[in-house]
Amino acid sequence: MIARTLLIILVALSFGISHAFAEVKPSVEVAEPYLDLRTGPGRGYPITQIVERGEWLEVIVRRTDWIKVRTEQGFIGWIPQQDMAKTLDPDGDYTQVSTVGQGEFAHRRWETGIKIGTFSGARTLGGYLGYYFTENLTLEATLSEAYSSTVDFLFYNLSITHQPWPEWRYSPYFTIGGGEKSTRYSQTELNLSDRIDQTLHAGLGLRIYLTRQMMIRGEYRNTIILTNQDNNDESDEWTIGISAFF
Amino acid sequence: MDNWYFRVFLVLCGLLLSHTTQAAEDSQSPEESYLEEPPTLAPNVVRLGLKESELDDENFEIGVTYGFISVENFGTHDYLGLRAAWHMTEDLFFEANYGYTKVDETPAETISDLRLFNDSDREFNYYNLSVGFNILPGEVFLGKNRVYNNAFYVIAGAGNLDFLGDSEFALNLGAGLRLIITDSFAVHFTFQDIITDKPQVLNPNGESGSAHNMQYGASITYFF
Repeated sequence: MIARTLLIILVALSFGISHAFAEVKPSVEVAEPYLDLRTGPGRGYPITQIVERGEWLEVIVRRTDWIKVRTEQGFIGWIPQQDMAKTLDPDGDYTQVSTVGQGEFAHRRWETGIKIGTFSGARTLGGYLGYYFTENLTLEATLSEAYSSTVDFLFYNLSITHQPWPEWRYSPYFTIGGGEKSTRYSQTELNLSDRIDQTLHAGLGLRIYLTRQMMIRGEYRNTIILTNQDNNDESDEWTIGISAFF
Repeated sequence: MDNWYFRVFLVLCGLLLSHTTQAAEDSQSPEESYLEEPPTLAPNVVRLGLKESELDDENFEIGVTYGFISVENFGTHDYLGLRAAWHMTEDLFFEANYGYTKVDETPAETISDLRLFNDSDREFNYYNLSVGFNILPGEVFLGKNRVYNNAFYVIAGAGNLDFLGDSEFALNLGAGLRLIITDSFAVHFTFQDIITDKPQVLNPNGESGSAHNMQYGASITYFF
């Protein structure tokens, strides 16, 4: 009985101890004559404190490019991420915190984004997810919808995309693939019924690296709709979108 | 007797002397010099190094919205929404919104016994994807001891609206105020206009023109 109670107390204590350890935040030591602390995570917030060389800062959270810190006196403030390079870790080495930039743009693994445009005159809206097998080849899944006054189209597509120059800031690419197009008529079109067709497409596009993990992507696609009539339909699609990579 | 006392005294002196010389010798060793430093009040501080992977990022935001939406031709109704945002820089973020409401009878239906739409047609569902800019960041003060960071932002985007049995392309324009309450929670007050073409069913002559669905609401969001 006593042993069990002791055990429970021990477990509870160890729980408390591990919890206490979890509360210890990482710290860095200021290595410049001084650093400015702002009241918020942005360049417009006022500087109300400074920390001097040798003072320790507890690192709390990061919001975009700003890091929230607590000084030894208990003041809380924000420093820009690049100021972390002006601090030392407990081993005396300069702190290293990296920012995603154009260097990573050429070595991205995943890409996702949204795009708007026109499909044979109808407005379209879509999103996609891509995976890079190599720096040049991507497999992409796209879901998009086109809206015109009496009919809506829903597209599911898979494409293989090839970009010959992944390291260029303006990086052109070719895309080829296929998918499905489902057609839904508005309730006012009583004589037409919904249907599903297979599609094939080929296209050309341009990725433009913007900043951080972001790029703009413009694309032209020619889609052939495989109907069961004598002639297949052909449609032009122009889109522009904003994407992020990881 | 005196001799015995004197002998003990000598032995003690000898011991003490040997001990102090010993101590003096020891003081030259690093451990002793460390011990002899003036007693500082340095607490036993455990300092953790900063590993980038352990840095607590707070760039994603998810939350729920409640508010009112004025659906063109159908009056004003309360709506429920979900929102998710990704903060890319201090100025720029991406946001996804989903909202749902259900409209009542139109005045024409109320005064006559007509039923123009069935129940599922009256469901008003939308989603949109937007880009937002924090244009007026700042601080707000609550009483004497509390201060919160905030931002007034504008957003614009495009999406889809399902209403009256039809899917419509919808543009959205809006503005909002974000109050960061803690490192993890924020409160938003938002206004948005969801713009579509006039619904086909209500516009049999095919006149051009757009329908504006104005909404305002409040959200609670969680940062992670």
